[in-house]
Amino acid sequence: MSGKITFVIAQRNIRKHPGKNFLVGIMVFLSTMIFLFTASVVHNSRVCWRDFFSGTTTGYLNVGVVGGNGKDMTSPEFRFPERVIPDELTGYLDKNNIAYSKRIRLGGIKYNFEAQKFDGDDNTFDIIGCDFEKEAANLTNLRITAGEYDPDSYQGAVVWKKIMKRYNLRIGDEISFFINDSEGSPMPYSFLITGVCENISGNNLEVESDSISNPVIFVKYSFLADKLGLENGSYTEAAIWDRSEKVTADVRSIAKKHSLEFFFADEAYVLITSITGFIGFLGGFVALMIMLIFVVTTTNLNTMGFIDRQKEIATMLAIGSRPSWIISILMCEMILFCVTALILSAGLYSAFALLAPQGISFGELGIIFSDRNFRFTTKPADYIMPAASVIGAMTISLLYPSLLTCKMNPVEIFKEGNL
Amino acid sequence: MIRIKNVTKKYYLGKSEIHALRGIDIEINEGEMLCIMGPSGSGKSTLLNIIGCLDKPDSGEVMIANRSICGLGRNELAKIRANMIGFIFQSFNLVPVLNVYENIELPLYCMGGSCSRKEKDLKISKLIEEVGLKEYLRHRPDELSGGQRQRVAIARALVTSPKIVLADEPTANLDSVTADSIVSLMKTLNTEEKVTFVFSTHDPSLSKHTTSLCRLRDGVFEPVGGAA
Repeated sequence: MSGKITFVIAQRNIRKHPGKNFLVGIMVFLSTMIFLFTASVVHNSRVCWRDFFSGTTTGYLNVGVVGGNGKDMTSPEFRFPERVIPDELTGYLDKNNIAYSKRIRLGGIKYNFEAQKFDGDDNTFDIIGCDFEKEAANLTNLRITAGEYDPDSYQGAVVWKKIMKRYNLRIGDEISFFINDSEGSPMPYSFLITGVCENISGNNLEVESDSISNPVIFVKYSFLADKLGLENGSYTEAAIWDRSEKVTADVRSIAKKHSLEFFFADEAYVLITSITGFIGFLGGFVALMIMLIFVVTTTNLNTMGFIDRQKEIATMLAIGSRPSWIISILMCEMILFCVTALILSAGLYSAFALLAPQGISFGELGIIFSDRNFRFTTKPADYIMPAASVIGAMTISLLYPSLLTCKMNPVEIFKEGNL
Repeated sequence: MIRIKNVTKKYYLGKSEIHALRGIDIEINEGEMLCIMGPSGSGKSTLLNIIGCLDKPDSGEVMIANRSICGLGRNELAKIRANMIGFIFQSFNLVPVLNVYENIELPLYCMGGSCSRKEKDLKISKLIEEVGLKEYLRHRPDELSGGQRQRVAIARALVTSPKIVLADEPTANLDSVTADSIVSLMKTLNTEEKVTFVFSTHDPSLSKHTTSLCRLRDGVFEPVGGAA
């Protein structure tokens, strides 16, 4: 059969049945918009948190020597690290001039020497030994709100603001921790608080919750290296700020090879991972429901349209057309107006993205994006998913009319027409 | 051309069994113009549908151009319909979204083959001229009268140069003058193109154009006085 006549019949039938086709078009339009919006919500929730913690604490990528759930920065590791970051990763990062920071991360339990007991219930922290001055250049969302970082102070520490508030600490106070040494015996160590830090923008849920999302204390690399007996600049954690996919893939591969822990910034906190995971699940659920509704509605409309045109289809079959050709006409019709509706909705969505590059505020609901603005994402992958889903759903919705076409007996249709 | 031997066909209407054809025998020769007459429900349409490969008999044998069609599948029957048979329906059954030219062209697509654009144009133009619709080439069916629509249907039936044209009450929806002109046209084409025409009608006055006539009643042929 000629493609031209198929196209001619398809496009004229679209115009002949505007009501039905308009309804299917609306379904395609709405489904695509919801798909794109849902993809943006899922993407934003992850990216906003990733951006937040990347510039505040963890780096965009984080590779550590601790396995298991040690990546959870609200549940630090209290043992001496048994190994360090391998030379292969250091060599790769140095060779490619990748922005990264060498850190020693250790867990600590807050101890009160005066009262001779551990302080409170939620008293575990991540202590990060690093070159704070160098690191500050990459921690773009971190600021010192009181005091300063003192490079000359061997035991100096910059403490997260909420920790200061919880334990009623002041600059100049001493803060003490315990950690189990290599033989498992508790070992105390103390710091002198020289500065207080917190995030510049965004929300890390500390306002809404009693828990501290960033239980971090920045101390000097040399202090922790001495404590742990690390030599020759060895380190236990690499915070990496390069966002390219190649670097991510390479680092992930090296981390896997050496059984290191690899995670993105937002994955460092169970609460945040739960939020982004739930939004992802919800997004998938909404997308699935939309697709099912689309399939059912479009099948219904297509079947009604088919019944409306039975005589025309029966005539074409009677004069020698194959059912496959009739199905290709139905398919062509669907593709024509679905693609039109897809282009319209994708165009409108892209227009939103162009008109609101700074994004839109979700007010109080913006907490799911760390209080950052929601941005319409316009990556090609975001468009491929709704397009593939709509075309898939559209094909499924044609199955029943196609089956009816294959089973159609023109004689029966002509008889009904004569009644 | 067409040989039908002891063909039976029954339908079910609810729980009641209707014998549409009860052991029909008929032989239609090449170039013949056969008129099948009979009241409603006599089995005319069923017989035409079986000859036209649109329906299958319950028993008996149907041969078209020396080929039995009873055991053939849907696609093979579609191929025979596209290549050997032209259809003219009582209610015209034109494709509403196609214009006159495209409606006539449609069976050529169903037939496949390697007919060039130029050949197609020549063939369709000739037919359009023969059925007298030269000025209505780009008109859609809803812009034509009943007689004009049936002329389009005739041109559509003839465009593939079929061996047989089947017309099920082609004049039922037309006034008597138009009906007469349509049957005259069919007769002319039958004579000029040597196409076998089989048509059914209620109207005895139309039998004057035919070369042979048969009457059906309750699924069996009745004896007739002879061809008109």
